[in-house]
Amino acid sequence: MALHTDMSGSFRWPTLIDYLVILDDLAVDIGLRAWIGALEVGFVGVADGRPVFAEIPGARGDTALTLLARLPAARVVPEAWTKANPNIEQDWRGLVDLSSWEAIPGRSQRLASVRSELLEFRADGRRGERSETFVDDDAELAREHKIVAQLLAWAAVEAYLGGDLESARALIVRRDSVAPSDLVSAANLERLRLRMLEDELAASVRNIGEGLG
Amino acid sequence: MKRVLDRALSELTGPIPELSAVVLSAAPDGLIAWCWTRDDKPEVALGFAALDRAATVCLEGLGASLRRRNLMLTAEDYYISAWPLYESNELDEHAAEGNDGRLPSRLVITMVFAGDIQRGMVLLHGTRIRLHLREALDRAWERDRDLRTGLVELLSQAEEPVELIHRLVESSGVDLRRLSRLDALNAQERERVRAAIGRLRVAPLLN
Repeated sequence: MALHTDMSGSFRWPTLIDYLVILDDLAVDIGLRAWIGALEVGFVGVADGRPVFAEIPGARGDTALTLLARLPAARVVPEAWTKANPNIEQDWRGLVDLSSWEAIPGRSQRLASVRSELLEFRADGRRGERSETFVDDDAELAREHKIVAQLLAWAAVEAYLGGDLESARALIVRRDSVAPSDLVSAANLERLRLRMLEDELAASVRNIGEGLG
Repeated sequence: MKRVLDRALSELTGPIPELSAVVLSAAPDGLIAWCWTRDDKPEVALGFAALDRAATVCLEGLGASLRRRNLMLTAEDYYISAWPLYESNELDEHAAEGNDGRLPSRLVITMVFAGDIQRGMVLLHGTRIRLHLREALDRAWERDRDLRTGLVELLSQAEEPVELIHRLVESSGVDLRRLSRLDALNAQERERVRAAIGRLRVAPLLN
């Protein structure tokens, strides 16, 4: 078993400081929006891995970062951000209470979670940058195909779950016309065809039974 | 939804290194709704869908309820566990809250853990993953339902679905990368996409 696995069974969302610790290594530009339930409680802008902008209702800059870092219950959601109007003057480590953060259990687990989330976010951003920065028609077209295929594939599952097998089949066929040779889609279509055939046979047998009765 | 689920799972794949695959399938036929594998080999999902179908047939043959089923298959260094995405009591709560029970009621989540891991941890991690993905799916399912339905309706009827997406990007001004996460669009983007869908519905070739 991996050493950093949390044996307690508890689960804690990563804190703002967890994100700042990992971002120190990643050196990226990113925005961190903090929420408590549906309430937005603040925003931190990170440039080249260092927080340079912070804002909460009623406070900005160093004070805002200090206060935000005291909200361990806040859920942090990363978003794309470009450096603008920096208002943090001190190094972030001097503004937050690192000893309290170290006392929160499950730190290594939270950090691993943040790292994988931010790497995924960064990879997604790079894919997006490629499509925006370079006029690469092939890449853009491939992305359009992918989005259409994903939408249709999910719609087919929704139709299936709603009991509309014919629509589900039509949506998978359409999905395959956009992005053919997908193994999972082919398997889904095959299962659907079999189900429709089985239903048809069952209905025929019932009809024959009723005719004989 | 693929991007929604990929993103939600990415928050857990780091802290749970033993997790090697997750498959969301629809009972009773085991249609694969979404899958993730650590080594990026989606074909492994086909086997789990077959497992899901076999379990359905076995339970139906016994006359047992499909709503309370779970499955645990073990091999040396492997644990495979499957649960309904929603337990039956949770489905009742879901319905009581006025939510549409159609989506989750027949979704099954199968998870594969590899390596030196105890059964108790499999159950613990499995529950955590199940709840986390369910929360993400619920949120996106409700939030982007109108846009998703409108878009799929257009794509179903369009002669050139890919061209239609291209026109949607041009007409709404919302870039492709943002469109791949409908649930993450802000209010302004949602309104622009909604308006563009309306325009394309009325005159698909003129936009």
